[in-house]
Amino acid sequence: MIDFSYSELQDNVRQMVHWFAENEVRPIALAADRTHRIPDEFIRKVKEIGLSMGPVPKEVGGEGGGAGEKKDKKGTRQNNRLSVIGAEEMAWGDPAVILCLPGPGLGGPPVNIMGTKEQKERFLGIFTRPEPLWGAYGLTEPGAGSDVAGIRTTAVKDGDHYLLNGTKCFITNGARASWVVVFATVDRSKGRAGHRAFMVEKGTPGFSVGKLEEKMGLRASETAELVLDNVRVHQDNLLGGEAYYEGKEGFMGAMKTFDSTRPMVAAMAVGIARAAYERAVEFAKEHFELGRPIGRYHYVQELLARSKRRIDASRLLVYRAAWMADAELPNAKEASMSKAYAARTAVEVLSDVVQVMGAAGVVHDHFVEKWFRDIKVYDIFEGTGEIQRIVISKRILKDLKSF
Amino acid sequence: MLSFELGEDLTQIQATVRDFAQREIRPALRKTERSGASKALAERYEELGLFGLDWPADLGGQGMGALARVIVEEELSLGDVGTAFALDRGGAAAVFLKAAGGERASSALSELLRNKGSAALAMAEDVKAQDDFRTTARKVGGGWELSGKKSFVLNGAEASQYVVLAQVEQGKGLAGAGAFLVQGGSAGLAPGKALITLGLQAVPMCEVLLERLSLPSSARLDEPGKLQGLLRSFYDALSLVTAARAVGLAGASFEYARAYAEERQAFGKPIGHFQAIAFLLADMATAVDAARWLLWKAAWASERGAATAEAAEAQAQALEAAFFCANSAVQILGGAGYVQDHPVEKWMRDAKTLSLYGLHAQAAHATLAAAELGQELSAAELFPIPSLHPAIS
Ligand SMILES: Cc1cc2nc3c(=O)[nH]c(=O)nc-3n(C[C@H](O)[C@H](O)[C@H](O)COP(=O)(O)OP(=O)(O)OC[C@H]3O[C@@H](n4cnc5c(N)ncnc54)[C@H](O)[C@@H]3O)c2cc1C
Repeated sequence: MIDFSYSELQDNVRQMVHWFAENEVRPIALAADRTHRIPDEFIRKVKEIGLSMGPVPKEVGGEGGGAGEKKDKKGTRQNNRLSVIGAEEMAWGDPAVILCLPGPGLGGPPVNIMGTKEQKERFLGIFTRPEPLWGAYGLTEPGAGSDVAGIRTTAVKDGDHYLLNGTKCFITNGARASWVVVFATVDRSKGRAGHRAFMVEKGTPGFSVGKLEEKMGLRASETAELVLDNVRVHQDNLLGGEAYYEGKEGFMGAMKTFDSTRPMVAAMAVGIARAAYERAVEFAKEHFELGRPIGRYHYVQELLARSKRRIDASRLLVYRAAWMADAELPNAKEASMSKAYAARTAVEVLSDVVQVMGAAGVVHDHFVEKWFRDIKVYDIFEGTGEIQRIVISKRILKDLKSF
Repeated sequence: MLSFELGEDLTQIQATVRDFAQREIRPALRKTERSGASKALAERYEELGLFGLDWPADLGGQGMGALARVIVEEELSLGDVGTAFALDRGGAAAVFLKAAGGERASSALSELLRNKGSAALAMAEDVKAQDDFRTTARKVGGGWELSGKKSFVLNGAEASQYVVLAQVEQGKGLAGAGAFLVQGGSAGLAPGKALITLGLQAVPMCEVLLERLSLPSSARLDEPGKLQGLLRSFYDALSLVTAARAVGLAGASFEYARAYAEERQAFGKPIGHFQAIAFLLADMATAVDAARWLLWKAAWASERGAATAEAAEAQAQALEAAFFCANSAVQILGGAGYVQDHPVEKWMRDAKTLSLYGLHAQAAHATLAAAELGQELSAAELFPIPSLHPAIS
């Protein structure tokens, strides 16, 4: 049955994360942006509470998917819906800080989906320890971003080991991560069929951090270049083991992770847009021009109403994609719709909010100015807006293979 | 819980109406545009129980909720939005009567169901920048006497029932206005000039002239001083219907353009294989879905209480999607889109017209903004009548 209300569990998650975002995240966000780092004290608190970026499955002693792989009355999983609800609230607190939370991060899903039981225990089990640890996802290279098939990092079999060579860039938490899922090719001529995912651990000889990026926004979040120079990785670190890549699934399995991560990233965009929109509404109520609050001017109302409805529509696209993932329905198109629409909406909302707030929207040390810088990347990472549109078009137009 | 599954009953209704729309409404669309819904279409519509779908069972309706209604309206409009208007012989007047409630309105509704008549809402006037209706209702003896001219009345020439808004107390704007039920064919009621519209032509529009029209005292539908509240509920309900038709129109335009882009070749490949076209189609598909979820959410919410902000939000979003999709569809079809061999030029005209129907696009935004800013939702300035453009307060 159609139901737009939250279950008790969903509402609890929403309120709990919101409380944390408001009381713990917001107070540190501006300083974190200025100093490009997250206070240790904050990270310690996060661990205490048990918040984690990316779920740690129950089988390895973690909390499970969000608040658990709990099923609803009809036996449907709930974790995707819980994740997007939590992600929106957390990003409402701050879009950069959310990326700094300890946990497997974007590296979690491939381990979960492709990893063997031993690999899950080894690589996800560490997140149940008391100290804060991070995982990372290393796909992008200087010469291959959207065009994932074009990666050049090579993996050459050498006895029980593989030798990895290449450079990864723009890797979130890449420097602090205990391990990085590194995508490499064993045979470039095979395209995606030649791709393999390796768990490369921090400290492995030849594995080093290049430069840390200075960015327009998300400055508190670490974005690292990673250099692999004859890095010897044991075959036990090949995600899923050799057999995994023999079937047709192979690398496409890794792409499946997008079906749940894209709605998550879209949910974050919704959270940021909502945060900014709320500021604009407050501003419009309190700020007077020519004797009336600016919210009494029709043009301002137009901007606010348009923002509001697009934010709400984005959220529903996110919920729909997450619901489909929970119900185990194929949702690649819907996941991309949510990401494409939410990201574009958020960028436009931020622009309108800054406009409504005038100077107060562009001065440093105001959230709106920071969010304006932060938001743009949500239309770039986890697949650019254009890539989302490619995914959608291929699913609505027959015989469309690529452009 | 957050579930997007329609459930068996609604899925069944959706499939039935979709089939009717594709098989019968779509092929007749040009004929319907020229001369209204055919007898065959109208009969099928009644057979399926689509008229009075969301009216209470004791009035002879099907007793279904707002969600069922919007699903039906969307599906009909997937066939053709103009036909959805033409088949709905109650129109906005029936929505008004349902919102008004009370004995007089209820008996008018059941009469409509029984006698197969049609209704018209005579509200707007062709006079701008004043707060009062020019049409007046005077107390005369034990009843009322109405005089004036109404404009932009859909189905204004042939209705069996009219809901007429008129000024009872001068200088008080909506607070001093009233709503009256008038039987078609009454002495003193006559159709005025016919108005040829840009789109949605299947239902003709005209002026309605009232000349010392006598009514019994029971003809008044609203309680004095409560018209604004009634208009609020009326617009809330009408917004859902309009939004549903807009989503259907958007979906029809998307699907038509999508199919065309798969077939039409240029430079040796289907035009859909060019990114500029494919991405546009991807955005259209997304716009349709985004609007539909807001619509369903608003309908769902309205079954659980007042949902003014949600309805206005859904309407504004749906109107945006409708025009975006119809306009893009014409673009994707190119020259073919501009000629009448294809329906998209019609849908583009319909989309523009739709955005001026009922709570038009700007008024929907103003309503949503008012809700968000904590302003009064029944304030006269939020209604697009009697002056066409609400004055800045
Ligand atoms: C802050 C930040 C954090 C990131 N974190 C990570 C991470 O943790 N792990 C990771 O692996 N990567 C990460 N990335 C990289 C990110 O995923 C890539 O930037 C993204 O995939 C785009 O790739 P690119 O930058 O190489 O752009 P390009 O692929 O070079 O694209 C440039 C432009 O061309 C367009 N384009 C490309 N192909 C097509 C096409 N076929 N049709 C139409 N247009 C096209 C793109 O949409 C874009 O507009 C991060 C990036 C940033 C900025």
